[in-house]
Amino acid sequence: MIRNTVLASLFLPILLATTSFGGSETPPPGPSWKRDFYDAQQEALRGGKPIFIYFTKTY
Amino acid sequence: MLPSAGLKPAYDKVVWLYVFRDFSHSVADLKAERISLRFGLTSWPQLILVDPESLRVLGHTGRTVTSFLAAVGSAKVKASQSSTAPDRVKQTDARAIQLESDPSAVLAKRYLEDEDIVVRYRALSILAEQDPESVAARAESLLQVRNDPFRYEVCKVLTKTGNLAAKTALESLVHEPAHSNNPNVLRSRAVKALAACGDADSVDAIRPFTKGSYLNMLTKTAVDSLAVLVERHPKARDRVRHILIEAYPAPPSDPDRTHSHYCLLLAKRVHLALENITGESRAFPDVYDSAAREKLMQSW
Repeated sequence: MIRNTVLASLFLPILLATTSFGGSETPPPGPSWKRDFYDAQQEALRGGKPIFIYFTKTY
Repeated sequence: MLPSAGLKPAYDKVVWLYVFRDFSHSVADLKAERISLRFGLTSWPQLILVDPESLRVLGHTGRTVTSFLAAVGSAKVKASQSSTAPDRVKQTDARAIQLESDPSAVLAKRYLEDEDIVVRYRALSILAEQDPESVAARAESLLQVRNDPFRYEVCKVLTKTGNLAAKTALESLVHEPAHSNNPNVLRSRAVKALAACGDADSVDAIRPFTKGSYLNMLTKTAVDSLAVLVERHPKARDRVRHILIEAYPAPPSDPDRTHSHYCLLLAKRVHLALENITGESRAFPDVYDSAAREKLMQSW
């Protein structure tokens, strides 16, 4: 628990500084987000691009 | 970092995938969990770049625009019209979903050695619940799997069932939690499992971690685990007694509330462990400072 507290205290300023950084079912605004790995993988392969995966969770 | 306008140069340089878990075990949550499992992730948030063909992690982007753009700039991927890689993931997902829908030990045993880590994890979870002895019996080989959630699950089973045959593999993991995204947690799980599986000699593997930071849960786990080992192997009592006496944490030199609190918690935990393994009691000081710590250690 203390480790999570320490981590939260390190990243909370970043989380608060940007809206919807984490902990939301809705992705942050900006790029066009995919929600399906298969779709992302296919598009990335066709385009010769890496997949950027943003993992987050409810807090 | 998100949603900084500074990321715009990268909008069309990567494919953006958002994976959110709410731990509800809904269809959407299980789908997100499968992706997390594939990359061995057990803490959040995580921001990674992945090769779509090999699924190799190309790097972590960091949490600044600068680090993100640098990571994207150095990630090279070849274009391909082949659907082999995505189809393979789809097929493995189908097997994992089959296990989710039909969590039977029979099916799980069939899939425990599957080529895909997500399928293996699902199988392992089922067996951990329905047939933990079968997991414990194969723990030595299962602990070699380079995936944190997988190894956590094996350690969890071993903590309940025990198995002396897993001792060497666990001691090795405690010594070097290799190929882990979260080595401190993996080590902590292995220490706990070692308490249930190890013998009197396993004290040596756990001892170094009793002197860790009071902010680190591993330190607490190491103290507890030594007490469990003594319960199972009384001949280790004298050795563990000496180790625990030395494990009373030094109070912080510049204490703030958090540090003082956790230091005191660990001190009390060490104290309780000593009382439990020796059957003796000592008064715990009202104020735990350096002088009180010294006096307490000498009293044992």
